[in-house]
Amino acid sequence: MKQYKGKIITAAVIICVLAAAYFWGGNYPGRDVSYRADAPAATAPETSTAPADASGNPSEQAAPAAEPAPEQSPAADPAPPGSDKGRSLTAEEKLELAASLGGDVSSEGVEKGSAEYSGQQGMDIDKSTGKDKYLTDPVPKGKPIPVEPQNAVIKDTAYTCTLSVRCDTIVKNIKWLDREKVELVPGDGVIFPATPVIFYEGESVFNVLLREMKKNKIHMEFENTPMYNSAYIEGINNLYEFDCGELSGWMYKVNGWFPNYGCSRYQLKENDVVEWVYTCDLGRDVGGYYSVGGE
Amino acid sequence: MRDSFSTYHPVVNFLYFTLVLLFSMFFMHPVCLGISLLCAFTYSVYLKGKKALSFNLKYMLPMLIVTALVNPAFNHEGGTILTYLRDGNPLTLESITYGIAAAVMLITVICWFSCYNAVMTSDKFVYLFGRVIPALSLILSMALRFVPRFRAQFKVVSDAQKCVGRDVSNGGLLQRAKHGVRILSIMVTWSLENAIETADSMRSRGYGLPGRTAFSIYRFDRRDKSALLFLLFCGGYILAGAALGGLYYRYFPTMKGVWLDPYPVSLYLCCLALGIAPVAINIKEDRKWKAIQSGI
Repeated sequence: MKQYKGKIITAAVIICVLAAAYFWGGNYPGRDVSYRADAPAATAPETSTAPADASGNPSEQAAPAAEPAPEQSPAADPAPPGSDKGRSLTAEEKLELAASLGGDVSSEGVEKGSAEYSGQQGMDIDKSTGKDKYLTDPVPKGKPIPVEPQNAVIKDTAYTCTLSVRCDTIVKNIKWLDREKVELVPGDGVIFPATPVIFYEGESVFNVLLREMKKNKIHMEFENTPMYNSAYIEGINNLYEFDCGELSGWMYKVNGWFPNYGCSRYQLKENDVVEWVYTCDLGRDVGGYYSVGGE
Repeated sequence: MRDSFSTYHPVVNFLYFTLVLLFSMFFMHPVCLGISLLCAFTYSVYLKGKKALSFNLKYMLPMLIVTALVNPAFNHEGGTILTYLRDGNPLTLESITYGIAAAVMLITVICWFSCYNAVMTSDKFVYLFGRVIPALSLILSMALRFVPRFRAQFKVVSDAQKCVGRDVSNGGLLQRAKHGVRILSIMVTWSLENAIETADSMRSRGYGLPGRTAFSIYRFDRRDKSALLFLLFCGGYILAGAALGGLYYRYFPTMKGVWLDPYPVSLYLCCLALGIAPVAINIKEDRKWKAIQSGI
C-alpha cells in the first residue's frame, strides 16, 4: 500500500481537477428563463421514475412528449430564478438541460421543413440523410430554397431591401458580456438601424452585409466554411461569437424567418427585410432556435 | 567572461528561470515584453558570445517576422480598421500589434530556454528533483541531453564509416543514400541501447531508493541566501502587482492599459532588476576578479 501512495495521490489529484473543470464550465445567460424554470418543477416529485409525461412547456409546439428522463435525481431543486446568475450548473441541472436541449423543442414560430416542397423547388435532397449536399435540411413550405453563391448570377439591376443589425439581447445580459467589450454595446442595442439599402439582382444576404458594413465603417469578420458552402459571421462591431456566454453568436432573419442555411446562400428579393440579431442562448432568446430532433 | 551565476546554488538558478519564464509567458504588457526580450538577449549573448548573436539574428529574427505577419492574416478583430483584405475581412491595427507582441513573446521564451540549458545542467536538475520525483527527473534530464549527445555520437559513427569508405559523402547518389540509412540505423540502435544501459546502470547504483544519498558539491551559503531573498522579493512584488492590475494591458477591441504611472513603473523596474540580475552579478564578479588579479 505504501509504495502506491504516490500513485494514488496523483490519481486523486487528476480526478479532482477533472471534476472541478466539469462543474466550472457551462456559463451562459438564459438558464433561468421560463422554459427552464418549469422543466424541473414538472419532475420535482420523487416519483419521477415513471416515464415523464411532462410536456408542461408552453413554448414548445407539437412536440412529441417522448422525453424520458430517468437520470433526474430528486435532489434537483428548482432553484429560484435569478438567484443563481453567477453560479455554475450542478450536474443534475446539466443532465436536465441536455435532455431539454436534445429534445424536439424548437422556438415558437419555427416551422418544420417540408421535403416534398423543397424537392419541388429544386433542392437536391439526399434520400439517405434527408439533407442536401451542404448538410441543409429541407426548408419549410413557402420559403426560398438556398442558392449556391458559385451559381448565382449577379446582374446590374438594383433593388432595395432593409438591413438592420441589433444586439438587444446583449443589453439585457450585459453582465455576461466580456468585460473589455461592454463599451462597444450601444445603449439601445442598435448597431445599424433599419435602413433601406441597395442590392443587385442575384446578390445574397452576405454580399449586402459585407458592403454595408464596409461603407459604414463598422467592423465585421467572417469565415468561409466550405462544409456549409457559406460565410459564417464571427463578429460584427467587434462583438464576437461566445463573447456573451458560450451559446452566443450572430443570427440573421429575412422577413421574420430564420433561414436554416448560411447567409451566402440566401438570395435576396425586392423589399426583403434582413435583420441581424445577436443571440445569447443559441437562438432561443430571439425566437430562432431550430431543433432537428427525431420526428 | 565566465558565468558566475551558474555557480550559485541550483535552487537559486531554478527559481530565477521559473520566474522569468513565467513572467515572459503570461505578461503581455508591451513594456514587460520588451524588458524580458532585452534581458534574455543580453544573457544569451553573455553566455554564448558570438554564437548566440548569430543564432538570434539568423533564426529568431525571421521567426519574429513570420509570426508577426501570420496573425493579421487570420485574426481580424480590433477597433481600428486600416484597410480591407482581398477576401473582404478587415485588416486592423490591433491584430498587427498583437501579432508582434505574440512573436516577441515566442522568441523571448526560446531565448530564455537556451540560457536555461546552459545554466541548469542535468546534474543540477537531478540534484533538485532526484529525491522528489526520481524517475521523472532522470527521464527529463536524459531527454534534455539526448539531442547534443545524439549529435556527438553521430559524428563518431560517421567518422568511423568514413574510414571504411562508407560515409554519406562517398559514392554515387544511391550509394550515399544507402550509407546514410545505414548510419541512421546504427544511431537508432545505439540510442535505444544507450537508454536501457543508462537505466540499468542507475538502478544498479540504487538510484531513487529510500535512504540513499547522492554526492553533490552544492552548498547553500550567504550569497545564495541573499540572491534567493532578492528573487523572492522581486517575484512576489511583481506577482502581487499583476494580481492588482498593475500590469494590465489589453489588445482587443482597442489597445488600452497602464503606462507611466508611478506604480506600474516600479513594477517595470522590478522586472528589469529581476531579468538582468545574472548579468549584473557576472559583471560585478568579473570586475572583482580583475581587481584582484591586478592587485597581485
